[in-house]
Amino acid sequence: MIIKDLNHNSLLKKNSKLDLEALNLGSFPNRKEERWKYTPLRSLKKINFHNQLNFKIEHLSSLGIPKIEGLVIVLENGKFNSSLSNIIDLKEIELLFLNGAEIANNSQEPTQKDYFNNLNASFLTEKVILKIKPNININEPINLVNIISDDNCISNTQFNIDVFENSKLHIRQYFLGSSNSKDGFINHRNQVSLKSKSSLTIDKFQDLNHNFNFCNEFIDQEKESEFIMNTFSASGVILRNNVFCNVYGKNCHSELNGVFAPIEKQHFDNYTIINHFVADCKSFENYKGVIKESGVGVFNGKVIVHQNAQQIEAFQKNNNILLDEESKIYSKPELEIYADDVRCSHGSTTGRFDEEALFYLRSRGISMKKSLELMTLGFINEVIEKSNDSMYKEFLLKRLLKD
Amino acid sequence: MSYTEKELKEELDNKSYEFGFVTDIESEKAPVGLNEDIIKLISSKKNEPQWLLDYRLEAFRVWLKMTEPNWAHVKYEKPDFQNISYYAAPKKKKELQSLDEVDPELLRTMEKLGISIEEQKKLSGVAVDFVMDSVSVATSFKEKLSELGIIFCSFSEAVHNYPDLVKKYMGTVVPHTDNYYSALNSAVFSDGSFCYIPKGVRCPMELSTYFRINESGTGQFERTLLIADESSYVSYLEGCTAPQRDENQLHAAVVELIALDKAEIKYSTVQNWYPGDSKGKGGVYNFVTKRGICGHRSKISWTQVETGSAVTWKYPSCILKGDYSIGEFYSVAVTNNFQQADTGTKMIHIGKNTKSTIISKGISAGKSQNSYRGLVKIGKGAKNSRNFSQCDSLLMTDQCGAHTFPYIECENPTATVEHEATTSKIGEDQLFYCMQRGISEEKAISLIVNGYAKEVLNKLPMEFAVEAQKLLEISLEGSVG
Repeated sequence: MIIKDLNHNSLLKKNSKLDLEALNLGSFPNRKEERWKYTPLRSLKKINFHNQLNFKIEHLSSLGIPKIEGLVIVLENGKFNSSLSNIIDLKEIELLFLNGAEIANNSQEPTQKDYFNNLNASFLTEKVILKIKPNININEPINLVNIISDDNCISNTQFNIDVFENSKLHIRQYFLGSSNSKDGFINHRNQVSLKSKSSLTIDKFQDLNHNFNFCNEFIDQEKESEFIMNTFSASGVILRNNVFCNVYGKNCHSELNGVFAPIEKQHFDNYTIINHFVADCKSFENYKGVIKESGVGVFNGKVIVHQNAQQIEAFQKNNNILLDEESKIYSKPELEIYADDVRCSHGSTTGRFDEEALFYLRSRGISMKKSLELMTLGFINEVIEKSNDSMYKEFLLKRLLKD
Repeated sequence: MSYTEKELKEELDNKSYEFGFVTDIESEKAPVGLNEDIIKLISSKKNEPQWLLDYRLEAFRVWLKMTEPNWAHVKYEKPDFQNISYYAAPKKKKELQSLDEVDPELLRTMEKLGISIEEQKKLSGVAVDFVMDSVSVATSFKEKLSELGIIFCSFSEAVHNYPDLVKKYMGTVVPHTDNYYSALNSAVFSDGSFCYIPKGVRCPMELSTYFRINESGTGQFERTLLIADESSYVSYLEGCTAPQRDENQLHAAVVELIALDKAEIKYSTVQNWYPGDSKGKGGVYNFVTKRGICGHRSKISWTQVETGSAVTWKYPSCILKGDYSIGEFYSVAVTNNFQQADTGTKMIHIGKNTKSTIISKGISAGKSQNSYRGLVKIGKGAKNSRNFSQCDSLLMTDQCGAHTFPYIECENPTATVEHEATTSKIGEDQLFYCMQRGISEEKAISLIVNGYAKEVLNKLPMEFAVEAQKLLEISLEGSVG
């Protein structure tokens, strides 16, 4: 992987190319590493990226998403696009945009031995800090949109979301790739901090078309906080979602749900780690995979219950449906438990649709295509239902079922 | 005053390894270290043909290029492979004709183990191939088995008497290039068991081998090859006890099972190597490669009760190659004190309509770490395959760990794969229910644990079920902290 660095970055002079493997970012992940066992990165590795940041999109509607209201922050090709954004002044929210040299001054990067995380830190072009003041309940969702619209463009962006005591926030995050661009790459990082009794729900929607998207999510939870993340992966060459949820306070609720529907050799990988450091917490995971047309799905979830973290209730569920001969699923739900008074379990199933149920629908004059669609709908609905906005639900179903 | 839990705990802490004793028999040892000369020495000691020596040397060269695997969820001091003697045999006397000729010291050892050969011969109808440090010393019931055409002998005998069979099948299921320990085993294996069941024969008795590490500082490298020809059936028992030792002993065995069309193999193991003392000192390293391959409509069933060893690294696997073949894995793994176990299975579905079942019960106590690691792979051509896995873990103290690492790889849409796992401690309501009926806490726990493991223990042959239950009790009772 080579990046042509045309921007501000102090790492290199202008117009020079940067071989990422030569950079000291840690070794480029390969399949011998347990974390990357099921996700080969050959197709990403051979691309020569540039980070020349320019705007190409004129209207958000051209990307096939429904009309978004309220606060909208749009980053296009790694840079804040003010004409697409809708910055309304909300006095409850402190909003801060950092780019260029400001990032360097504000950087407080933890030293992680993760390649893409380091890549993000080294080439970060836009960092948005959102702070929600204490005792505030924001009902209208905030929209964070990340677009890639330029071929071979690499976008390294970051959102810092701090929710203070007793506040509640709902975020809709979109990762979109324009249908006429290819080999673009959004390498994004979300840094979430939840203070006590706060609550955050993130609906993440990924529709990258012929582009790549990796997300590193770091969530720190303090006591009695609630974190819910619903990930909907509709398209992209390789999508990788790393979720690291660290629960530091008692009586927390952590919930990760997802639907991934790769088609046409797409490769969607969900990698989650929930770290229970203290007692009396609950965590739930529910991921549904619908895989067809040579798509590959990966679910690798891990729950770690550390010593002395008693009375933990953790549940992982992963159900997958394979719809044709060439599609594949790799499921690896893991439990690592060092405390005894816990109730932890996981379940994973893989199979196809019930022939009898299909026959039932067919015998009532419903076409094969429609029957399969109905069955798929029934299968993923459990996760889709988490959203109570009917417009958004309809949009999700339309994109995930790909009709 | 009733017998309190604390008292029991103390008693258990102080309880030393029941089967820890050393038999004093003259033995012949190879010099410490590992190189091509040592391998040639082992080979010549055993009068091996050239092809086997070549096989060993080839494996050794492969092994030199390999690195020790470190992906398992265990921590231990890596053994120094140059500080092990790779061959120890009781001094060869003349060929034994009857039991009278067997060293009385050896006979006494067997008695202590509860498998007196005379008793066994007369009463239980079990043929015992007793392995004392690496070399088979006594084999009983041979004549009776040979009437049916069944071959059951030590590996080295088989090399001399049935070289065609050995040559044809050895290394076909676990090739010498398979992994670090199987390569080591292929290079230096000392002895083991060989079994061949001819076409259409149903083996009338349970075949059993007792392995035993006896000489201090000798690693044991057993090799078992079991071939069940078409439409045959065999049930094989393997049990281990080892004497108490301070230094870590290495055990790297290879077991290969071959079930040809319509054959059935039932392989049961009770493993009770020395687990180290209550401070985590000593104990056996058990790095075993066990694998079976199934032909059409054949069945391989692994049942294991793992209570011993300081470190266990063991994944009895089935390659379901033939259509309609069946693989089963039933396991109870108990860890106490500082024991570590990373065990599970691999079910590799290749043929159509293949079925596999995995039932794994882990019990961790003390400060031990117990992991289940299992792979279910459904290949592209494995149409209508079916897998069901259930892995439960029971935690007895707040300092132990129980982990589950299932790998599910499905590449065929017509397959159905189910996996579920739970981790919990003994329910307080269950305990209360028993105690309220006047059952002591101690007994109640034993009852619950036995019930928990019953599903697996039931799969053991009669001869083993009793021993296994006893082992469970020894390893566990009162370890609730």
